[in-house]
Amino acid sequence: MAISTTELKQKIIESLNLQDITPAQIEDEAPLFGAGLGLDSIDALELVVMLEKHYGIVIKDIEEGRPAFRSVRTLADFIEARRPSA
Amino acid sequence: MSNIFITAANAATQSEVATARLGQRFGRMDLSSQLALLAVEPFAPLLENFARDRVAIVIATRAGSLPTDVTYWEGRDAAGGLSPTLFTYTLPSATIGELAIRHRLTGPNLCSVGDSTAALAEGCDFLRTGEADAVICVYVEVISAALAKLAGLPETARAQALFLQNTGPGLAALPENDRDMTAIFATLRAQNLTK
Repeated sequence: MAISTTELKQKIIESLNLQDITPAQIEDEAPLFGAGLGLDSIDALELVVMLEKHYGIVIKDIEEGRPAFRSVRTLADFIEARRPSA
Repeated sequence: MSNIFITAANAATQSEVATARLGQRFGRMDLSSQLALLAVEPFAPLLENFARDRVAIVIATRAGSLPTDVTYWEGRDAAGGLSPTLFTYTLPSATIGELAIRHRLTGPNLCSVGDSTAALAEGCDFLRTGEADAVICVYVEVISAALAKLAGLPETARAQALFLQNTGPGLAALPENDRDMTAIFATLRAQNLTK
């Protein structure tokens, strides 16, 4: 089953303790870093931890995860492709 | 007669943190940084009168980063590893960084662990030596529940902030021989000059 981007957005908000933002306010295709959601390098590391904690995906090299962190959509696709099968 | 003046004073407590809205990043900060930001926030209009590299930040933190250190240690076996965000706050001076980012301040800064006496004295020196035109001096006292249990101290969470200049009269002249911020706040409160 494909991962829900709404669920993923909620996990991002909770993991990063983002205030005053709801899943509905985050666009699937908007950049997570820089001009989009405005996340920074510490947030990137926190997302790596979140991926392991919630989806069992281990990223050993941050370069490996860089394309996945472009947007919620790319992150959802990455999780779908990499998460261990149930 | 002191030649240093308290232009503004403000205090913050933990109950104010829950409802505070100081930007998207506020939620990820440690409690010390949140309290310091809240205490300093009313000074923002004053900062418009100064070059950002001429405002110093001086912080005294009673327990340093120990409350965060304890939380970090307790989470050492967490799935996926320890929180990178939490790690950034295992330095007492992280609060200075958050204040500097929030108000775009690039002047001198100093962080001390313990009571406020040494920090306030250093803040005065920044003004007297001409290294800064204004000083934000913050005393943060955070003893978390976990730290209170370990150290046998009462749980506390509050911050006091003073905005100092060498031009007055401001709210009051800084007492010449008293560098204890808690005592200074008690005096200001008695005169209804701060909350």
